[in-house]
Amino acid sequence: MNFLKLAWRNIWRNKRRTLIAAGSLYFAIVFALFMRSMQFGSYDIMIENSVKMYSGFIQIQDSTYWVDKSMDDLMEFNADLEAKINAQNGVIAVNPRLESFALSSFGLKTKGVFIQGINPDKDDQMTRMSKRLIDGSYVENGENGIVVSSRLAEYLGVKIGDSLVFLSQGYQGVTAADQFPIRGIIKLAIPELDNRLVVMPLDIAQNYYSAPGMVSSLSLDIEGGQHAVDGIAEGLRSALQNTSLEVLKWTDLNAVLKQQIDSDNASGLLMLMILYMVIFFGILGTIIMMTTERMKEFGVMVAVGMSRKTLLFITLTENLFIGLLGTISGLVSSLPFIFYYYNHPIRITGELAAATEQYGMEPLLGFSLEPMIFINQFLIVLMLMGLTLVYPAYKISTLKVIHALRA
Amino acid sequence: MKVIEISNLNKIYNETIIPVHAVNNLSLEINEGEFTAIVGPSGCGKTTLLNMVGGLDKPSSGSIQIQGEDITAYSASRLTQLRLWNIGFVFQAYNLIPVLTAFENVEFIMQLQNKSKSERYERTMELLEAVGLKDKKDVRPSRLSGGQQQRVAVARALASKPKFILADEPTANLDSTSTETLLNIMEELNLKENITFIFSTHDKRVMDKARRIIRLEDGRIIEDQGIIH
Repeated sequence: MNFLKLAWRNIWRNKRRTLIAAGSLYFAIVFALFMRSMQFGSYDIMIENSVKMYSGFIQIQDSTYWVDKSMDDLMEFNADLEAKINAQNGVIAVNPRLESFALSSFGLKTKGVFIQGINPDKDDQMTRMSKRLIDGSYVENGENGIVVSSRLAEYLGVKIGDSLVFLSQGYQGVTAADQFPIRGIIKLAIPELDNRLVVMPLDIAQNYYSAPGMVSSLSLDIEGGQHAVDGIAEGLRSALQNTSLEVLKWTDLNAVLKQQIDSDNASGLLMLMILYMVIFFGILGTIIMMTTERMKEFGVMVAVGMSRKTLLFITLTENLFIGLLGTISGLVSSLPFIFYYYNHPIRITGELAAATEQYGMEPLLGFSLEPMIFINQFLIVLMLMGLTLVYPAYKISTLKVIHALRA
Repeated sequence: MKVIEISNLNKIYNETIIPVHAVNNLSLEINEGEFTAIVGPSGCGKTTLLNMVGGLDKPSSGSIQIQGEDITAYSASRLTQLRLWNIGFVFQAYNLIPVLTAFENVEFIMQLQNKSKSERYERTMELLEAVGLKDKKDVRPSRLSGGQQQRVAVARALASKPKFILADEPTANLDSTSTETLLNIMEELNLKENITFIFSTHDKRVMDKARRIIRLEDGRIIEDQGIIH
């Protein structure tokens, strides 16, 4: 007979009570895992759509460009700079971009658009934009054609082969006006981008804006995604410290998205806190009952020679068993579902989908398998069980054997 | 050989309000191998005396020496160790651990003493045989009669090979047959293995078996019949 066995049998003295306590933890874990996994999964989708498909996790710009995004604050991009950036650990590729706004016109319709001049081969390695093509073909280096987003094409009523006229201001005040044939139409997940994006090869954009050799930013493809950003950005800042260039992280580039994620995350945490607080008091009630009804037995154990430490160890083990029962069963039963939804995100439909799109997000509920989600819930439950131990610990440490024996 | 030596022992409850002398300037010696009953009316201080000898309660003054060492100044943890290695307890209400079988209840004490598994097994079986419950070794207390539970409690008390056994009204909840059986077992253990037994009791049947009867009244010894058999 060892003390672990004793603790295990102790928790089954009142099966119903133990099952209710473990059951409440089970449901808390299942709910918390689904909620957090769904939250983080959705964040991953949002980041994937907004960051990986558009801004990149890190950008390098002229230090004056970010505030006004003026064509006069472009930067030069050359092989030396590219080599210096590529030398940093974790950088996969440097994607030069020239981005600005223009007024587009087709027939009697006009619309403000966002022009993105890219190196199609390199940029597509990161953004996989070509996979979003729903008609025609993707832009190619040296070819004069452009790709427009689906909602823009729909609004202007254009199709493959039509030409769009753009009017804008080029580098150092030059007027930029030209027309470009449409090669392809892409459908983007983010409605805001799908309403106004025009993609063209970098050299065509540089020519259009009269800015040869100039770019507005360098978007970096990096290893490790969002978790590797801080380290790589720090390295780049050191490498570029004597230049006029600035290193921006995705959180700087997508401040609104970051705020949305932070605020949603905070509301999720608040909900979990309330849930765990309710669970905590439920478990505490059980532990108080388990302790109170066994005071006499505690007294006998100490009377016959058990140290209070051993008694506390047994009580701690009982708590741990209840906690593990609830947590492990919750984890085991949640994981297959979370794994399934991780691979098959839920597509939102109807009004909720429209509302989601209005916030600039893809109407998709993704799930995350980020280990920290599972570890955190496990640790929270252990912490709660630890906190509930304060009561028996106090009762055992202040136990008066004589009084306990009379209980 | 003296096992217990009590000198000028006092236990006063409510010292600052209305003092009650549960034990009043009591001195006593118990020698190895005694089979002693402490008797007296309810409230005469029997249980209080046993509790103090067992290190479960602190005296107001006086000394209790167990094998020559005064235990009154011992810390709680030292007293726990003292009880584990030197004193066996038999309670009126048996107080077995309900989730453990008869075997495990007896073995449990030796586990606290970190005895080896084989030693624990051997001693437990030996004791269960001595109390006539070898065949009930895998039965939990709830499925044993009161008498059987008390016999397991005696086996448990003996498991640690204590210097003496303190038994507080051990027969109070038992019928005549169970009482007879229990007393015979304890008497046999006392005679064969020279184990010292100290009972507090009202029970005439216990008094009849005891070889020394100490009568208490108002916390004082009013009669000590010495070794009477």
